[in-house]
Amino acid sequence: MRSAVGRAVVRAYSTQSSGPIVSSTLLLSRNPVITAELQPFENQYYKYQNELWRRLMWTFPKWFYFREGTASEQRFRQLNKNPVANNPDIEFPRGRPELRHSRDRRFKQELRLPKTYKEEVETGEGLESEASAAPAQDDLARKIVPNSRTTKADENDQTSLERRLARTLYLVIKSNDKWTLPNFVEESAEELKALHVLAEEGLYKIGGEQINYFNVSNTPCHVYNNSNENKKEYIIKSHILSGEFKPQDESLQFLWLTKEELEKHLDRAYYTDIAHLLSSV
Amino acid sequence: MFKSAISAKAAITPAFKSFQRNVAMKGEVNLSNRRVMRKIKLGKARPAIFYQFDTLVELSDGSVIKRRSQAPKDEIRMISDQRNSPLWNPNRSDLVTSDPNATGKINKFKQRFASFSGQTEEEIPKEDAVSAKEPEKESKKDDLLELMGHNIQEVQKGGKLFNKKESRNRKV
Repeated sequence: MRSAVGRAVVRAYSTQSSGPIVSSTLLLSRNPVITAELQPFENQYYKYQNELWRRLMWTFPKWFYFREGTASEQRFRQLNKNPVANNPDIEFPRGRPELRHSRDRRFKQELRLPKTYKEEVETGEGLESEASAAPAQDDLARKIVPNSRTTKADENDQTSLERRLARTLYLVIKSNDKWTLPNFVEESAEELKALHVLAEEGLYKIGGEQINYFNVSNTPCHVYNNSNENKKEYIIKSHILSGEFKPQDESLQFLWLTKEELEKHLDRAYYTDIAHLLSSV
Repeated sequence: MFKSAISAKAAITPAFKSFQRNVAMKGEVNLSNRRVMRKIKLGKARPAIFYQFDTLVELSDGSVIKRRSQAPKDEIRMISDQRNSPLWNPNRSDLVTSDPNATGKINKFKQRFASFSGQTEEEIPKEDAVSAKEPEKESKKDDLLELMGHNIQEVQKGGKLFNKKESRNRKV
């Protein structure tokens, strides 16, 4: 109480009006959900390394995982036939097979495993039969299919959190016909709030309370000197973990953008000042 | 050269035990000095890579992860994992209803023996076991008191012994 009064007195006598306004800017990011997109060269590199790895692998210890004479062993044996035997009476123009544990050691070992579902259905004997025999969604024995890396939101919905899953997205809002990071100014000069509290309250005010976010630090990571509005914008970094940004004001426009898209939407000077805070992945 | 140096040293000071250590020299790779191993020449060593399958793991929320696995399974479907565990999802209210220990030993025990205790299923079976034991002890005490008093009965001392004759009769 006393300190608040003291602060008010100090403020009254200080040259407050001429000094810059302290404000808090929220750099709210959604971290990547899936692995990063690989460059063609990276793809080739990993393919090569993977093939090397496969070639260096030891023979699969079938005797360890499948007991002799069991049904599972028989199923495995049906899928993986023995390679051509090293018959001394036969000439092999491309080199003699070097068999160890029914594996040709000259090549990498390739194995197939019995599936829990009917493989004929998956390989597609007939489309109509596939449709009829399609397993229920809750069937635990259904085939595991990797999800698509692109979603519906990738097409045109820039307000969705489910777009560009491999990239970091940042929240920008439109204020005064300009796209900016959400910036919050203290309403009353008497009550001083911490910058991160200011950012949090502002976020809840414009985006609703259905946001679960993680504040990286109470200390701002950067300050942007906004000379046009005589503002010091302290940037608070945080990640959205779950929930959704739902604008409380109907007229409020917002977007979730990647770094490259931010470059197009933000002011050039503003972007160059904060570009080092943004992730290129 | 190294060997000769050692032997020369041993000759000078015979009090010390001289032994040949399995030390890797330049241009050789020695994997272990415990086992007697063939020396592996430089560039001939192969890493110990067990056979690995490319495995697709489906988590409980439907996301699929690709990984390598030594076990012969190329598709693994998780029923309970970090995506639906209350431990890792403290903010999700829809997980509270599902019991994370529904398949555990304790729960199975409860399901089996809940009717014997005459108590509700929620109570811990350990407590049930304790409460069931206590009255048994009391009844034994009562018997002893009775023995001390008026009504004398024969009591079996010690455990049941193997009776050769009886077992023979049973067989016949």
